[in-house]
Amino acid sequence: MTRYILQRILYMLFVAFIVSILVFALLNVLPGDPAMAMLGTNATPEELANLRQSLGLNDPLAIRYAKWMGGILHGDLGKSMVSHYPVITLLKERLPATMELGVLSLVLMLVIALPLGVYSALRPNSTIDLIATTIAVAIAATPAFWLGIALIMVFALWLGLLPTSGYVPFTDDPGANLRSMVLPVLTLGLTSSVMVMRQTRSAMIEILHQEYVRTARMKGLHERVVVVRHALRNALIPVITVFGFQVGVIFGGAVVIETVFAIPGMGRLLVDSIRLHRDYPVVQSVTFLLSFVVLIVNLLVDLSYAVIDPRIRYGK
Amino acid sequence: MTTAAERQSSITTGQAAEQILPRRRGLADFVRRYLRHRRGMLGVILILFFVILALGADVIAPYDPSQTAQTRSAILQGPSAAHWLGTDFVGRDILSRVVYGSRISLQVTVIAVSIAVGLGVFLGVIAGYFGGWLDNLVIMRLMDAMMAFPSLILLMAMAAAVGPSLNNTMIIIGIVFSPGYARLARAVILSLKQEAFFEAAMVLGAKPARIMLHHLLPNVVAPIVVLASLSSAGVILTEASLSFIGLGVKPPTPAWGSMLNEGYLYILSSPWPSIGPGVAIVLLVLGLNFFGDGLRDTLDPRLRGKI
Repeated sequence: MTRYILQRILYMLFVAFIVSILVFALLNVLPGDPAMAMLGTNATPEELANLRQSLGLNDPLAIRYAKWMGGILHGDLGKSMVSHYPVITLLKERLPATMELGVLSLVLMLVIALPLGVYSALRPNSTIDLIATTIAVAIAATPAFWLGIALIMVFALWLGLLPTSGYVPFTDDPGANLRSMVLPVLTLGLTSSVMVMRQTRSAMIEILHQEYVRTARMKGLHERVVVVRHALRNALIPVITVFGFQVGVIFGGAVVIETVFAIPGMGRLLVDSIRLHRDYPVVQSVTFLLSFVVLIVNLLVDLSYAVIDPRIRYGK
Repeated sequence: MTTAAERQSSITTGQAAEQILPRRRGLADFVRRYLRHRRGMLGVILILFFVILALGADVIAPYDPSQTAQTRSAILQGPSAAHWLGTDFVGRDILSRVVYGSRISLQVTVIAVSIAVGLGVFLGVIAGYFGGWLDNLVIMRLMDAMMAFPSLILLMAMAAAVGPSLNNTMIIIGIVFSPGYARLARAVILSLKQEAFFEAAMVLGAKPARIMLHHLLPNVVAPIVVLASLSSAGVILTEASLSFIGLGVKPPTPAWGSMLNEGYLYILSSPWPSIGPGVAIVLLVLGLNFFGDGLRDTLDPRLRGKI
């Protein structure tokens, strides 16, 4: 078990290393001169040369990478080109909003997907199953941002129940904060719940046909015990895989949703840095960090396999 | 001159051979079986609908998609007899733009998926065939790293580097989607390596290229095709998201994603610019999903019979 954990951690660090090289290569190796991108085509050669010098662009690639990585390990993520704030300050400002959005969406995703998936598996082809599956198919075909826009149109513009956009920090006004979070969380939660529901349903259907479930029922156990303690536990294994994948989807989707709902989170930071400012240091560090967070979550998913599945715990 | 006994035994041997060897069912049989799959056929119809829109855009669209309005009152109109889907914020006919937008969407799908398949299968076959350090250390770790990113974030970084445009969008989406194919191709190759025919080919001294092309690739085709149709839906959704945040296809090209971006800016004035392209996206993605489901269900039992 310890071996398994160590293996997984090392593997994650290795992949994180490759991810960092990938991000660095993307933004520093591909054609395109950051100095020109920031100053525009009217800049004089001296201005360009000065900017390049101050950005450290003249150092060889390996050194620039080492500086960046070294900085990250020390908690120094460089400075924004545009605002000259340290990147880490920007991140600290933006992180709460994104985390709130992400965590609430994950919770909603589970709350919707698991019960529906189990219910559909217990009564396949029932009315509820068919309705749920049809809605799932429709939502799966919908771009998340369009669902968000549709929800805005219905709940904010037409019904006037919720704000169209904007964000109030939780510490300022909890009520307003939650109200502004309802639609974004609903959007992300709904779109990501589809795959988890499908996976839960198919995994449960397969398991409910297994012999040990039949045995449990014949033992006279309460149906709920059979379903939850015996069937669902085993169904969770592939479901956790999909869950891990959906975390990545939610973080990626959060980028667009923050744009739709004007939430000042890390996603918005990334979009604005790329689109408006060409702010390479911010883009580089934020991209790497977001991916690192996803990697950590996937690591936790891998580790939870060991907790849930004794075969992994004791085998190998 | 063959005796009755010899003829009899050859018939029996023929029958025996027929029973052992899987019958090659052929394309006609496949098409016939697919036609019976209701959802798959619905998917085909939806896809054909958009293909027709794309090919016949010049004839079908009632207006020039870039023709702006002359009067101020003609912008942001709702549906009317003149404009079935309304007008956008500069008075362009939304229906025409949606029709022309189907060209962009289909183009992006075809090219991005082609790139993903080409690159992915190539890498996957090489990794699966050669194995060893090339497989484990280089190719698959690179694929893992790419899959570790949320794809949208990786695409944003790439768009930041190369600049957003139609061509770049198609290429980077293709690249980002390739690891899925690489994994699938590699898995198929690894399982095929256990088969007898593979060992036989090696023993006969066939060159690696020939083994890969002639023996391995044909078996990879079916699962890849299924994955391609299912992930093409993802390609469209991804391109729409990229264009929506302004890092994909840029205006004034009538791509559905960027149309939604423009529509969003004026959503308080009129919901109509946001409705047409959105519905189009949903329909095309549904069509591709259904088509992929049909392919998967039709090919699946056939696969089991083949191997």
